[in-house]
Amino acid sequence: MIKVKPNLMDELHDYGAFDVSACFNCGTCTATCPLVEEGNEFPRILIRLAQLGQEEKLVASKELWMCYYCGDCSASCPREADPGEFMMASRRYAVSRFDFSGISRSIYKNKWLTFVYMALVAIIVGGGLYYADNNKIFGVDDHTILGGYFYETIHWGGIVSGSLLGLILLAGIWNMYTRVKSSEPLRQRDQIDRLLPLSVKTKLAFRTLVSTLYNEGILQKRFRKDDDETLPPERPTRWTIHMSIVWGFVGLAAATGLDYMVKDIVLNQAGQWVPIYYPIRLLGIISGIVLMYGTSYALYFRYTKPSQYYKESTFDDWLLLWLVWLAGFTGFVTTLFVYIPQSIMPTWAPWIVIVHVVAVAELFFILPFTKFAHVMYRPLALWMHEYEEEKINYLENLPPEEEPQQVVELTT
Amino acid sequence: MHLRHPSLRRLAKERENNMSDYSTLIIGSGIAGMQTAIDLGDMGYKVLMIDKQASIGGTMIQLSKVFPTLDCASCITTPKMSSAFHHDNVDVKTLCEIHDYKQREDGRFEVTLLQKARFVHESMCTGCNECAEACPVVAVDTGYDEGMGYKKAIGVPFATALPQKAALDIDNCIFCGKCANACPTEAIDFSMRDELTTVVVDSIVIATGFHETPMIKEKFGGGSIKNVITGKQMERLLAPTGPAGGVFRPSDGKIPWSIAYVQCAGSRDATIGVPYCSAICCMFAVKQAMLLSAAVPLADITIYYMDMRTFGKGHEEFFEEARAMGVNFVKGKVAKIEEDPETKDLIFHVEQFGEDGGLKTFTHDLAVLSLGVVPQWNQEMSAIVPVQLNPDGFIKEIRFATEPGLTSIPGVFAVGTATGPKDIVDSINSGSSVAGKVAVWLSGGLREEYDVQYLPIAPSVIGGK
Repeated sequence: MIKVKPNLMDELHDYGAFDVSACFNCGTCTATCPLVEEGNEFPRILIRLAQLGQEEKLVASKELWMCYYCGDCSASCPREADPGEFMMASRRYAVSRFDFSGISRSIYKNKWLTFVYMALVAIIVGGGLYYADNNKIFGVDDHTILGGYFYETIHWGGIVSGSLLGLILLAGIWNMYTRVKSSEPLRQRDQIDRLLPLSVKTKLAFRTLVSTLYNEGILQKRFRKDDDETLPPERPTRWTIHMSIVWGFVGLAAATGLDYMVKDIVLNQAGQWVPIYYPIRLLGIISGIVLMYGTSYALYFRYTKPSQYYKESTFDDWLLLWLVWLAGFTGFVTTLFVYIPQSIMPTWAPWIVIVHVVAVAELFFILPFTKFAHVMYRPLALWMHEYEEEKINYLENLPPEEEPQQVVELTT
Repeated sequence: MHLRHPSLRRLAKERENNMSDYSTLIIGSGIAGMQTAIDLGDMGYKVLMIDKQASIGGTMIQLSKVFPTLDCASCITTPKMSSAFHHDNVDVKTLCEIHDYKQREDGRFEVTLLQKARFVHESMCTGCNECAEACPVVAVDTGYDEGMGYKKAIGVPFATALPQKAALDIDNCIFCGKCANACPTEAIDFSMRDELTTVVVDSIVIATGFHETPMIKEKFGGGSIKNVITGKQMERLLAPTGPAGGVFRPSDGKIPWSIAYVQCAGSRDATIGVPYCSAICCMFAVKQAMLLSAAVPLADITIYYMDMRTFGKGHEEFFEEARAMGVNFVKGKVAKIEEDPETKDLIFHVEQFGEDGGLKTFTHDLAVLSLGVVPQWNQEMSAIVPVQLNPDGFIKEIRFATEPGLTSIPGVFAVGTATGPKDIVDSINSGSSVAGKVAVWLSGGLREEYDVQYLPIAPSVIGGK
């Protein structure tokens, strides 16, 4: 049975600027899309689902996460219904559906609530830092700006908020998993699950996980297929920019994790000052440069709009990019403070550290609720659908069971 | 009659000066304009009909057959052209455009006409076409034959043209003078210049008709793919008077074995600025598909459509007949046409609807775009005669539903496709109905409709009949 949500279109309108009610279902969008695969046609079918109020199918669909919003469909739409923006809005909607807390929904529906939410995060994190270390950082001379004073607060604050974030993410993932599982085509596949032994399922799950991570995460092949060919070759393409942001994040996450493991656990030197050539610090700096390169270009292009891909930017886009940029920039200034002599250290240096930590915390806390959540949902959705498809493929390609040969007894 | 009193004499003289040249000026001589001219002429009004082409007849004289009766188009148009052209009360000026317009205080219109040079004296030309025989220039006929055929730089525009007088195409002429030598009546005169003449009329009827949406859509090649042709070009290929006596594909002249129609290729598409439905494309595509099944019996004919809008009398039956004849109707809008660089075949990208639907590619030899209907009357012309336009570019009818044909200027009327997409039957209907409206206007009626301040004008020049 499919539940119909009659006001789905009105709901979706709160998540993006599009006019899909103008759509007359001609399919031009589908036929121009460079990412459509056989059996996974979009955006028209998804628009139809939205028009019919079939929320469950829309939110659980694979096609939602196959789109990288190049805007070809919007440019060719004869009704100017902006299907690309519809896809984007549907993704935002899906993120808000997967989030159980309702924060995401209120953030998307009201820009000012976002500011309130972010202000709360800033006050708690920044205020916490300021009061916890107030008497130590301001007015006391010491050259280890990150080493000694903020360390404890950041360390434990990070662990607490990290666990909190992990829980929220897990809840979101579970929510998504059940929704995808219960959407109609997959429910039919439950029978398939019963047919396959666990060992085969594990093997297929692992194999599809690796291939999804490799294709969609490490190389982002689908994104590359959707790439920008209108810019001059010396300009970085959308794919290059996105890749550098992704890899900047991955590198920084790796550096943080390694730092924690090596220094805190193995060497038991938590909070120690390290030289700039220390490999983990070096990894962090390089990743930071890569991240800043991508973010700066993304912001620059969003302002100058050199091609159709950058023609529309929502509050969501700006917020995320500026936060990442701010975190990166203050991160570099903080690193600078770690290595300059104490004599030229400005008195406002701790403030930069506080801004940096607040920016990172904001990123952490908007992750499950905004556009940023695609980091988690996109690969997950693609993997889950890939896994289900693989299972069917496996069953279809099984060699036919050989019928036992009838032994004909010859009578003599 | 001698009027003794000077004031009476002055009055009479004034009245004589104030006489209009014509009751009505009809701009455009397509099927709607001709119908208006004939009806008004029959009622006894003196009419001037002008056309920017060298012959009257408009779009309809170019067509092959008409839907849904499959009557020969020129068999219907030619008698109408003839009765309009030879009508005692109808004067015709071809190669003539409006240049300036002024509304006088008494409500009459002073229209300045730009008479383009024909370079042939109409009174002397006998239409023998010796000039065309002598002319060494062979140029692509972008007018009557829609670029599918060739023509000489001078000659009678086409076989059934009216007036049957030669016209010189100055853009293609090389001034060799051979035609002038060949002309038995010495009608050719290279010294002719464009002339401005002013006429005073009591009413104006705009019958400027339509042209097809230009092939600007990039996804269909933007006019650069040879084997993608327009509906009107296909009309010319199918017409008995056509340039090649058969259907061929432009890239190599071969007979196309697989012909596809792209519906809504130039209308219902906001990206090219034509968001409205053009009303005629469904039917003319079905008609052409039927004619093609006779012209190229072994060809596969496919029509890609979103929805078939066969609303008129007998139209749905006509569509069903085409389906029964084996024309393949595929539900789905063509999104992109690509050209195979070697074979020049066309690759269609469509999301097909239905059970075996999905994203599909199809290959065809020849594609016919069912382009939309765009008004010929444009902003520039509205700067001369300031009638209001609808947002879609067609002339605004102030009482669209109840009294069609009335424009925003009292005394100026519009007929046919100048006010919106219409098929031939509707255009003729609108021509006749507006002729009635014009007659009411000329007899002093309709003034209250517009809340016009000035007094009714006396019924003007009544032609002898």
